[in-house]
Amino acid sequence: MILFQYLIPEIIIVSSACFILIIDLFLKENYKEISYYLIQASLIITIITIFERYDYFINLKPFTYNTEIFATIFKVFLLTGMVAIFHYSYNFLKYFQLYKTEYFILCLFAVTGMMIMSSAEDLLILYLGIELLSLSLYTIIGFNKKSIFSSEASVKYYVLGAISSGFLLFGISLIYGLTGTLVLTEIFDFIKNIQTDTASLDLYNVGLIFSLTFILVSLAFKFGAAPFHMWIPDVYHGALIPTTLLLSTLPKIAIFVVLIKLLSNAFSHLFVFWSEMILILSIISILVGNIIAIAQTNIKRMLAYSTIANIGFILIAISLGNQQSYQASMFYTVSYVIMTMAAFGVLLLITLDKKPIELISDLKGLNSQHPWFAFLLLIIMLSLAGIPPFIGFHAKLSIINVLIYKGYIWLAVFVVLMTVIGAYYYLKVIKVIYFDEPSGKIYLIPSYILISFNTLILIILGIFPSNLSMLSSYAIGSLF
Amino acid sequence: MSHTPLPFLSILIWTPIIVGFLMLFLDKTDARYNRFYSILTSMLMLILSLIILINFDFSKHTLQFVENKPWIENFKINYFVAIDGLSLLFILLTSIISLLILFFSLCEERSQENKFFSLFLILEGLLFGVFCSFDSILFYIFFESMLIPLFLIIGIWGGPNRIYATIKFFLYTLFGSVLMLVAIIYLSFKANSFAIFDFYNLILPLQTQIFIFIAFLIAFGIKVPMWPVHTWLPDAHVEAPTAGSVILAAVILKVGGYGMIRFLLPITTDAGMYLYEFLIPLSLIAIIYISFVALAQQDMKKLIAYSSVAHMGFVTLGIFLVFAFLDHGAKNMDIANLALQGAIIQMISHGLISAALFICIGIIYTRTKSRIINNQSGIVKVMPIFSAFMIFFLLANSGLPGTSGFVGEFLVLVASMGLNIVYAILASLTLVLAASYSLWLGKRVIFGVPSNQKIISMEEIKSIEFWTLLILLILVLIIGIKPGLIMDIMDKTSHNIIYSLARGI
Repeated sequence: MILFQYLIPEIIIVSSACFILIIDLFLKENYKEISYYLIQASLIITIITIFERYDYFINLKPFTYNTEIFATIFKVFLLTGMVAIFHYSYNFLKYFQLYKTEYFILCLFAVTGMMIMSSAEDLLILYLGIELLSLSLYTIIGFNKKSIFSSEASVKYYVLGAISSGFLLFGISLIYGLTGTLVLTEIFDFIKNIQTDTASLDLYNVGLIFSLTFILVSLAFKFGAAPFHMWIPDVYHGALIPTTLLLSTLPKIAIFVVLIKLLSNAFSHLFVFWSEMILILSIISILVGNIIAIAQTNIKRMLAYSTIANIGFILIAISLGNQQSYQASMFYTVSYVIMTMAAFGVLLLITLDKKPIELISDLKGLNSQHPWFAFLLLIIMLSLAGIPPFIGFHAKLSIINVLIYKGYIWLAVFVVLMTVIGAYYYLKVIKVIYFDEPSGKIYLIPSYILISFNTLILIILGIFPSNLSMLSSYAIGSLF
Repeated sequence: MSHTPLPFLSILIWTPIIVGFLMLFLDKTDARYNRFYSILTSMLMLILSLIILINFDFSKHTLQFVENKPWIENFKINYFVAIDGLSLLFILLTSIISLLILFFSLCEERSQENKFFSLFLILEGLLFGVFCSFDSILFYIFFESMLIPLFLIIGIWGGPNRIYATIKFFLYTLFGSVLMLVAIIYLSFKANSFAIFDFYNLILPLQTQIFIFIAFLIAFGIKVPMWPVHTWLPDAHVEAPTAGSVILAAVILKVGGYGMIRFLLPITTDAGMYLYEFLIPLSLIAIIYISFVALAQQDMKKLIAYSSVAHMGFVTLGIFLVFAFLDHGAKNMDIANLALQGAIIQMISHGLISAALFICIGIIYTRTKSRIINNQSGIVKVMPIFSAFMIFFLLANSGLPGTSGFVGEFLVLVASMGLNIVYAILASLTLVLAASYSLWLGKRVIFGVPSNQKIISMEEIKSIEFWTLLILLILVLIIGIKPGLIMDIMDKTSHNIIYSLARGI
């Protein structure tokens, strides 16, 4: 059918995943890297096909799917991010002889799930995308069979994730029962119509808010917002660093897209109700993330709590519910993803005594042995801490900007004070790298170019942030 | 506004930053290149700032060398750099002190030397940026980026307790500046622009102004530092390497005073007029109490650090006196101008004197590996030339007439006399107290009999050290004898600040 040409990117990824899986069976151990290159090639081809065909809205009930500019921008982000993540992960897995093609195949399915999430215009399709993502993630978290922590993390994420999926389904079914539709635009129309009629407003509002709460709880879980954050530190800690790298970056973009779509479109008329919920989630996240991160000694756990705090920053802007604040949160999300990708990208290339690093103190004296990597981590940590002139500062700036323009000055003060607390634990990493004496021999996995480029982006975007802010205003503007 | 063919200020700001950044990648085995390139860059920057000085039109109070281009268009943030008389003074101070620091650092050996020099160059560029920015966000970015090089300088090359000191320093100043960020964004929301001059025309209710005033006061008060938020400074000074202490005391503290004149005075005038009776005592406490604290110190560097806090108390006193005079009506404007000029001259003069004193202590420290006062005595017997320098700078520190230390304090004292005789008497106590801690330090360290073998084996200062101190000595004397030189540079600007304030009320 002619409409399916707009699904070509997804089709390419899924079919090449299946195809490569079969090819891989026939490859000898020495030639396994061929499948890695095939995977990368399939991703790059997908990016090209996305550029060729976009801006289309498929409305073929029950299959509602859009490839408009908003979804397309995020899909390009997701796929480019995936290429970088595969590059980092491949070097890591090969170095520790953990390389299995299946790992990357599962990641391909995960990225398909995320693409579906960004395009879905129907709650059921959305659910399918989220499940495809989650199921792939459950498996790759448990990928390191020898590690007890890895299995623990996988089971923990699986059980909690299943519960949260149940919440999501329950919310979706309630919505269907109330509105009789799953298509986002129709839900929007339905809620808009009942606003004019006081009698039906009372009748429906309770149900709608009830179901919206279930959906939001589930999404907050997947996003990792406190108080639904319990899985994040354990999973980040237990999984291999490449998995953590994947977990902490791309799914956040996908969930962000889903949140924006739901809140700015379908449920925009329920703003008064969800904005408070999101605000509370965000304040708790910022507090929990920043304060608990101080006490962490494991670098992955520290970055896990830093993720929670950053999610709080994204949510605090979303809770304001206007176009500028969505722009700010998109700016923040994208820059957070670039920074986190660089952070884990550097960390997974550093090995202490031929083991992946675990503790912050494992980085001791990195500067004296590998000054370039120390410099990269310096930039990344300062950027995460929100110190100018790096991109993290502009991200925080845009959030504070919208808070003040909306009149939430005390909230802005709260946010900046939390930034100071946050700066402490990032500085601790810099302190370990630059000021402490080395405790062991640090070896690097030799792969410098992409990670250096990734880090330089933090500086370049920090000095010229207007491109990214234009892009986010363009993307968000297309929704309104 | 004059348009210049070359973007002098951008060259001034970005050359040291770019060169410093590139030097990170230089081969670290060959130190000579690092030294050569950094001194060369810094020297070029001094020449460039002198060119700017020559081309600067002293008869105008408007901005000169303006470069104003859109930078982040979504938020209307501009790349707006320019200078007026006030900025120019600090640019000159920065370029002179930076060159002297790099020059002085030639006689010290240290690990990772390429990083040391490159961080100082980056810091120099960022300081130029702070003094040239007339867009508030640009100012903020330079203001906060400045922390990074200093954080690393203290942390990498500092003393045994450096980690505590450097993190304390960083978090203290970051805490202050983030509140300023909130205030800046609020002001930009009201003014619909981020340009500092657009903030001046805002009419804000008193209560709002007080909040903004407090935000700026915390930011710049920590930087200056004012009592009671000064505690980071002695720690940072004690742990910092000599060069770090010099740039910290000579220029970075001045950013606080500069920011007060740029932001506090014109934007939140009403709040200042409302609060000055609370603020002037803070400055007086800094002057008197901290002087007593300085008397009790056992560590030479700590003593000079506390003396810095006390001297910067005069700067804040001068600035807060302006508020007081504004409150007392328009007839006091000339004397308010006196207070402001006193504050500015005090900043420049303290920049030179404290730099010299920290260098002197660094010279002693490299020879005896101790900064404890009781471990030293009788240095004059082994290092007569050095002792002469040190005694001169200690005298200048205590405000001896004929040195620059006298001018600023004198002007501020005269101005405070015009307001309230009690303030003047209390502030003038400093002349006694500064003399007692400075001269007592000199008596214990320089004079007496050499007490141990380390002192007897000390060498006389090398030529690099000699020239560094000599240049500072000449500058201190010139400003002391002919303060009109720097007054001319900033006269129109300070005049303009005071009179536009007076028109505003």
